[in-house]
Amino acid sequence: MASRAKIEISRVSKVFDGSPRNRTAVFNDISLTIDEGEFVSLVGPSGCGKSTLLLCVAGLESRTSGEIRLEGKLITKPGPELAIVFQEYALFPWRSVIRNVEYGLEAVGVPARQRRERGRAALNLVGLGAFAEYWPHELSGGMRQRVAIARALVIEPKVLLLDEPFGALDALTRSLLQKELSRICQATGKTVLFVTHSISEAIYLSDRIVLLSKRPASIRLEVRTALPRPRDPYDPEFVALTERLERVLLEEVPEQAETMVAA
Amino acid sequence: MLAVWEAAVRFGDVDPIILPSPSMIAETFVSMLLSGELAFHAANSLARLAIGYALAAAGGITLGLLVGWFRLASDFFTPLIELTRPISPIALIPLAILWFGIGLGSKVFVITMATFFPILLNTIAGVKSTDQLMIRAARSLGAGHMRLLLTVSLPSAAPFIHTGLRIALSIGFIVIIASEMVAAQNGLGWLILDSERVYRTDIVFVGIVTISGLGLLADYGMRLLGRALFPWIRAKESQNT
Ligand SMILES: Nc1ncnc2c1ncn2[C@@H]1O[C@H](COP(=O)(O)OP(=O)(O)O)[C@@H](O)[C@H]1O
Ligand SMILES: [Mg+2]
Repeated sequence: MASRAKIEISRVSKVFDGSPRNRTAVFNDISLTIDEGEFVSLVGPSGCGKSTLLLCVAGLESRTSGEIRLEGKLITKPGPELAIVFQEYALFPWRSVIRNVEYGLEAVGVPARQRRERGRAALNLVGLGAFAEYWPHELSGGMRQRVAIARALVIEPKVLLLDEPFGALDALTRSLLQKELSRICQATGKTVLFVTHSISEAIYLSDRIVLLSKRPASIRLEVRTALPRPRDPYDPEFVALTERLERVLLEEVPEQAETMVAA
Repeated sequence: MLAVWEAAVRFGDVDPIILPSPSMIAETFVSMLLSGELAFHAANSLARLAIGYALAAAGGITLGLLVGWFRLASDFFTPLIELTRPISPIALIPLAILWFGIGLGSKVFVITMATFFPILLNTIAGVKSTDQLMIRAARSLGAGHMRLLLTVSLPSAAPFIHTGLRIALSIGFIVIIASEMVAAQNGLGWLILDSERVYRTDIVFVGIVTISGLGLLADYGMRLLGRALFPWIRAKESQNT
């Protein structure tokens, strides 16, 4: 894998300044570099600021201090170079599946014929070629999230951002989608920043895992995962790494211990 | 109920000027329908309603989108709206006659005034309730300000706008009658009032039945339209129950 920096997060902090009494320092002085083609997971207790950090990278939320760069250029606003997938899918209910996928292509002015072709190809990639004309509300949660992933991939973003994309899905669907995401990322060589609160999900998917502390978050630990793919959660090395990381998180936030283990 | 009414009128010695029997009303209805008189008055009423309503819809939706979306428009128009909204449209009828005469203008003006606000207010509420998540998703897919308004806020406000249009239409049916009673030479409102003056209570009833029927039909059409246009709304409702 090439080691060219794709995303550089340098000394970024975020404070929500609702009112003087209601100041939330979300994270402090975070620095992190993501290389081209790398899959990096952010893991941390809920409420520690993972989503906020991802929104900052997406250009959807302002930073209080620090810089975030994409290929050396400062990120100041959202755009199709950084596509984001949310836990709640965020599909447009008034658009059919294929027209959801085409949305980003419309926004950048791709002609109708090409939109349709690229939209169909993206749907095929996530295994939903037969559902192009369906409405989002006619699909299951797992299928909706596949549509959201297709909608993000079709615009060929430089970086794919995912915020707990499988958090609302049942265990079986989740592991199926993890497999598919892993396959798609291997096939397309996408640079990915992935937020999850599940350590095993992070290990299954990532080249590197970044553990965040509780709020105000800072980076607690970074681990490279070199296990061969496809990974097996029952492999002894996989299990050992899971236990090690869980222990770190348990130290970090004892009161979160149970939810972390359950995930 | 109709049978009781019929019996009461027939055997109870009720003056048909006070309360004509259903059969008498039906007879009058059929004869007015065949002569084309009913269609003539109904068409006049509906045409006035349609023009006033269309103006209100175009203005209400456009202004609603602007006020809901642009901070500046909101700051400027909100006090103005709050000030003009409580004005009773019926109270405007005399002014309308003064300004526009008793022709088409005065009726259209009153209808527009009466139906404008529910459309406007629902559109504003719809735009303001746009899901922040949808906006984020669209922005990160490359949508600019105008595209957001037209492809995210407008469709997500559409069910609200539809509700506003439905409420406005039923208000329109009430107000058209009132305005025709005051200033018109035809139309169902005029027909009702004029027939009362010449003691043709049966025609009064025909007018009432006709305008009510048309209102019911229009509302039914609006409901069907809503179902056809917003299939995801019903899906959400059935999921929640
Ligand atoms: N727009 C906002 N205004 C004020 N506080 C916010 C806002 N968004 C998030 N927060 C706060 O920031 C903290 C981190 O939230 P979030 O990034 O969603 O955490 P995570 O994704 O790790 O669970 C939470 O305490 C949350 O209440
Ligand atoms: Mg979150």
